[in-house]
Amino acid sequence: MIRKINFTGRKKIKRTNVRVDILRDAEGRRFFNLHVDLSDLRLPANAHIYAEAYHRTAYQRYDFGNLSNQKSPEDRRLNRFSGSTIPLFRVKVVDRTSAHGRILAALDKIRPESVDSEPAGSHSLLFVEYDDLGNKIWQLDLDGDWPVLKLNQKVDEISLVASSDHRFFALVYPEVFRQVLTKIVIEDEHTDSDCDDDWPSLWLKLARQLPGMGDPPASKGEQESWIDNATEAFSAKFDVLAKFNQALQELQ
Amino acid sequence: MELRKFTDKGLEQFRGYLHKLGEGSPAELPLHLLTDPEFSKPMRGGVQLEHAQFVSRLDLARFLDQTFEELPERPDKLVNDVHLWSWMSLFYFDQVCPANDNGRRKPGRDYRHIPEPGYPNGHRHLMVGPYLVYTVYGWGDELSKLLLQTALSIESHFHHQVATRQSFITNRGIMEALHILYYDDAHNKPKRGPIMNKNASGSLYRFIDVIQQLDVTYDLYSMSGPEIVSLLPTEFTHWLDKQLKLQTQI
Repeated sequence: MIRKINFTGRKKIKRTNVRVDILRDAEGRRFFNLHVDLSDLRLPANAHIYAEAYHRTAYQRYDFGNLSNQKSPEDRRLNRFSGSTIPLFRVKVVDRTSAHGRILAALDKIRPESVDSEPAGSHSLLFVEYDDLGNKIWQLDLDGDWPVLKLNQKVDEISLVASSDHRFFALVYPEVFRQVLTKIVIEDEHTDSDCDDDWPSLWLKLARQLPGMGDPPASKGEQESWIDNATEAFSAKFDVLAKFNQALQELQ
Repeated sequence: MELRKFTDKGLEQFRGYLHKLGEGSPAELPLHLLTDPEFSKPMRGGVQLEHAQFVSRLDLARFLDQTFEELPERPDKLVNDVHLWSWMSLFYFDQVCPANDNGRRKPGRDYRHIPEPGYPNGHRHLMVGPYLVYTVYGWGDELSKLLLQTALSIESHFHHQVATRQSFITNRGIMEALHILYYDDAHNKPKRGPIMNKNASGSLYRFIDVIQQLDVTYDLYSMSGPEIVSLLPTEFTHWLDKQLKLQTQI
């Protein structure tokens, strides 16, 4: 079992104490608001707060002053990110009194609560992005900071199909579930759902809470069948077979 | 020739050509795809492209930076235009996929010629990669040198290892530290050795490991190259020139 142990003495900012919202200014340019409550961490008043936005190749950093004089920078535009991209955010509290800035507290992979005043699914386990996938309809991207289901933007009404067509759900989501668990348990050897609130633990928690499921086994030989069982339990919970048949009958 | 981009049909024809090459077929270069309106269409902006010869990926990056400046699209949007970059690959195919002594071309994986934007292969397109480093990340002449010294058809280990790591390629301090350690300014080329042996002390691979450990403790984005170098263990000291060695000892 792989557990994350903090040797650095760095404090963790609670996810519930941070909120990011993406908005647009009068000219339609995107910017973000950050609210962060660090009062429970007992950090020095002169420590600096930085926010970093990132997505793939793009990165921007913003100085929010120090703890005793926290202030949002005037320019919080997300001008290095293309229009449809929703970046993730990172908040760092840094001790700059020594030559090398030491990180005192941090929180990574923060999803915005809202985009353009609409809820952004900040607690979603799977993000959806639209891209040119050639002749593929969907693709699961597990190499980034958070699992992303990529949908081919060239498919007519793909957003509607993915969100409401039972056939799509039945054919795609159990397989997505299987691939994510395989990546976590077998490839990354991560089997501890209580480890932290990063995405592998959140997905393991979801699997563990399905009817008849428990923690993933430590033995490699049993892990594949555990994933099979989890995928079956996932399909059963969402009534995949019945809904798929019903959708087919509606076609006839 | 005017700058153009493939249509969907042109893109698929080009992909088909790459697959034929990959199977060992001595297929003719489908140059008609570059101009036939069924397979390609002009880019907005009226940019003219020359058949220049580039001595390195850095040379290409400089050229792209200047040429694409005239386009209305922003660089970070341009890099996602699969149809444009694939057309560019065919336009400069003799340089990104030169024929060997037997007249055979070995194109390698599709993403070297038809980009797959984003992680993990977006930067591995042989034309997009240099443009990303030079223009989009904005490292320009000085800090792009280490990554882009090779011929157009070759992606260096430096580029491969650094450009794939967002926290490295977007961090000026880390880029400066890499340059300080591994670039020979006197001879204007990368130093020999740091990529030869993965486990060797002071190698590029060790640098990546050490930086990833330091990143947990230190705010590397707020540090300069020399400050980052001063944090490194002594195994990296032999890459420093004499003056820097003295400074770090003091």
